[in-house]
Amino acid sequence: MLLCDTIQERIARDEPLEDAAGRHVAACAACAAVLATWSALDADLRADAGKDAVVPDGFADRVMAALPPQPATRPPLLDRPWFQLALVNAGALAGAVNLLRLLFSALVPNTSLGGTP
Amino acid sequence: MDDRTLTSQVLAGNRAAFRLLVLRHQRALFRFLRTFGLSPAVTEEIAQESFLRAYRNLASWDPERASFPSWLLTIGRNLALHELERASHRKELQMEGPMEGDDGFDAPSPGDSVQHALEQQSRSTHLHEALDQLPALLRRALVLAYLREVSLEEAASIEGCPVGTIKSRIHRGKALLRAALAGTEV
Repeated sequence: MLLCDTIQERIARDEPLEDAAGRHVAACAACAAVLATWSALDADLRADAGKDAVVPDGFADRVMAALPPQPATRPPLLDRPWFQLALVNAGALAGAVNLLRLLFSALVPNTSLGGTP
Repeated sequence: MDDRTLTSQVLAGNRAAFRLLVLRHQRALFRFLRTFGLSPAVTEEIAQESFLRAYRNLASWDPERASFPSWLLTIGRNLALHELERASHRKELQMEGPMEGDDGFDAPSPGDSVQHALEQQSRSTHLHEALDQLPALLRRALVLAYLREVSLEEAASIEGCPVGTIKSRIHRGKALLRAALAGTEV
């Protein structure tokens, strides 16, 4: 037996109702009233959002007039976030490799991993 | 022509394409900015500055990360919050109401009966009054949720919170609205 409280909570949270819950709502006056109330509120909010917001006359013209003379351009390669991140990662990787080389040479002193003999 | 194509044209030097972006997204931006409770003049200033910043940083917009309206509304939100902080320091907040200028007195559609139009008008006015009374976080969540231009995930991104949080705010906001419109306390 589905509880009215549970169903009404799910209606309030706009959660989908499975078939059994839907049949209960159709048969239960209390749940049907809750559904009708929330549906009406939802419809009012959608209708309100669908209306054109009051945008001041000439707003787009004022925006265009305020644009800087030069067009927006792509930032130079060095200023792009992904490139900067790649540089940082490359530096970190190089540092890690050198650290490993140092540790390895310290632990196994007779082994050379490159460099001057 | 989608936003990505228009943006590419702007970056190629076609300024007129940016006007199309403004006309396409100004409504959603104004509707969202009004939820911050700033005066109409300040709201327009912030809306204009939002588009200017979008223009200046257009090359950094990544359509894979966010839609253009989501990105634009995020810029607007940050500017609005900054203005609120500045205003609170100046103690010059002009709280004329988030729906100022949008008094809900729209002309009835042709063919509507007078009675029906008056009922619609009354409900719209009550709805706006109830929305005005909501806490700002809940009001913004509701407005974003019902904007066609942004998804629920984008709304969460704009507000800088998880999707679960925005859902909770929407639920709480609707509960308060329902109680206010029914004339009962939650």
